[in-house]
Amino acid sequence: MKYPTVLNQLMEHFRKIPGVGQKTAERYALHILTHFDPETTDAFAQTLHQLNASIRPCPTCGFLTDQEVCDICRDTTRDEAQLIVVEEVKDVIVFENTHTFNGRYHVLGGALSPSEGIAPEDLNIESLKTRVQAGNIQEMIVATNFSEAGETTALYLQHIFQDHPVELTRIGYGLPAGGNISYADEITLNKAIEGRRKMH
Amino acid sequence: MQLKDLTLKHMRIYEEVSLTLHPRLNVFTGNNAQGKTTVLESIYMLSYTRSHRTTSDKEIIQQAKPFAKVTGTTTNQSYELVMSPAGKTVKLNGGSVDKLSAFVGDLSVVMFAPEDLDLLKGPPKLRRQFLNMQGTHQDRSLMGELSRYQTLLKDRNHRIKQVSTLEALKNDGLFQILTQRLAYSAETIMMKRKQFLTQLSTRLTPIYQSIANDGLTPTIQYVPSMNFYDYAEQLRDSIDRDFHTKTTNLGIHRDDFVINHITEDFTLHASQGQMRTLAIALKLALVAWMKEFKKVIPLVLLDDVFSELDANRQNALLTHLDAETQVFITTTDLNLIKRENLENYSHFSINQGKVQVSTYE
Repeated sequence: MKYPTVLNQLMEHFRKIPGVGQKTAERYALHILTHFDPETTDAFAQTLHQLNASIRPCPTCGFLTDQEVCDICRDTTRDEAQLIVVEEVKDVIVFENTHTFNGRYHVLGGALSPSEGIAPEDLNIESLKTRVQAGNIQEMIVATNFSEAGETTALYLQHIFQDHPVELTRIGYGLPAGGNISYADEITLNKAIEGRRKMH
Repeated sequence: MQLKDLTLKHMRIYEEVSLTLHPRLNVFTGNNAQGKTTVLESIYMLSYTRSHRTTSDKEIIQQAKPFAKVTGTTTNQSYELVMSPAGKTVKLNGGSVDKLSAFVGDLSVVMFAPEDLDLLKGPPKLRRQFLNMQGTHQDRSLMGELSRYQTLLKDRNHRIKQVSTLEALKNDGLFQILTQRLAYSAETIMMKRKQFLTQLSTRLTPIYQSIANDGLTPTIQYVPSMNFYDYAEQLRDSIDRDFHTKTTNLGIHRDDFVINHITEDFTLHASQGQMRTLAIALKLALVAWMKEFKKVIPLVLLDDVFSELDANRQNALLTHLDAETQVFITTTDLNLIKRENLENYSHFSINQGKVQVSTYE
């Protein structure tokens, strides 16, 4: 016995979401059908519909926006001299939540990994060059992940901006807040030693 | 190091079996294909998380069973390894371990199996496996470095294929970065391999001499595919060849080592007997190395090797081990082991995955 076609289609859509399997998709779909009132379901559908129509990447920095340029790029109180370069859109939110950084961002849209078919032309690197060439940026803080692809990307940025008058810095890596040294893994500790600071 | 008990569940021929082990000598007898080697394989896997005789976990899980499990306890640690089609999970003292690298090598084990005779004469791949496996005992961070090297190597090879002309490849920024990173990683690994083999070599020579007494002085020589100077430059110099063959021709993935007598390859003129002695001496050198650098006496697993060794070599093998070494031996015939070596021990008689134990004190 099978569910009606539309319900099956809905489940198939849910299954495309990371972390959602057959059972969860079934639960989501049935929940909408049986627990949502028709207005809620309509509003849900409307929202999904608007998603592609109204949201697009900011042409300047690659963050998401429903305007011409994003809120961060439009905000004139922000420091134009500092730029944090991240892999993903969600990384911007993470830095924003710290409330300590008042510069701007650039979202690459991934990290370099030839074996996964991600080459420089697949990332927002041209737009980054354009921004740097405009001349206001003094420091570029490279905040790609501490993964092989993230490290390769950081070094690649260093390579292409070596002749530009912009200072490149790499965010520090090491122990997490509240971290206990005796529980840290070897790689993290090695990185923490490499990135040690002078105390006086 | 001493393993007190061992439990196998759905491992190859075994439904479920728990063994209480003798602190000194454990002998497993039975006909072929009854499950003797599986016991040793299980202990080996508690240390290395992989088998010494297969790369397929599927082969190890008993037919029609969802998983296979091995557990073992030493005086102060417990180890658990579960294999299923979804992969491997390990537990140390009952707690999950995120990374296999935190588990591998915690239990120190040295195995001597008939396959080890191929190690010295077979393809270089076997010797690289030996270097990688034993190297993890040397330095935990080596496993991470090896996996980083593999990722970078894969990326570099893909990049070679993605760029269409040699000229473009030479000027490709990403390719240069990958080359530079690969060189750095290779340098780290080569230094560690060199150190390990030098340390092993100085222990091998006297052990071999004391067993063979034939005037030969075998030493281990590391044969890396790159020289010990500017690695990045060597990789850059091989770019034409790499472009035409569409792969990275130099690097630690092409390393090897040889055993020499003076400057000549020992294995070229060695007799069968000398090769066997050499294979034993190499494992004994490893035991000595672990004792000195890891400060542990490893468990010693001898899989069906007594049938291959005459009385002299049997004695030499056992006398080189410390008195407190816990030894595990499989053999088809108990009479193959010399009587004087059998005083305090447990005898496990194995038939179709069923085990009978008798202990002699």
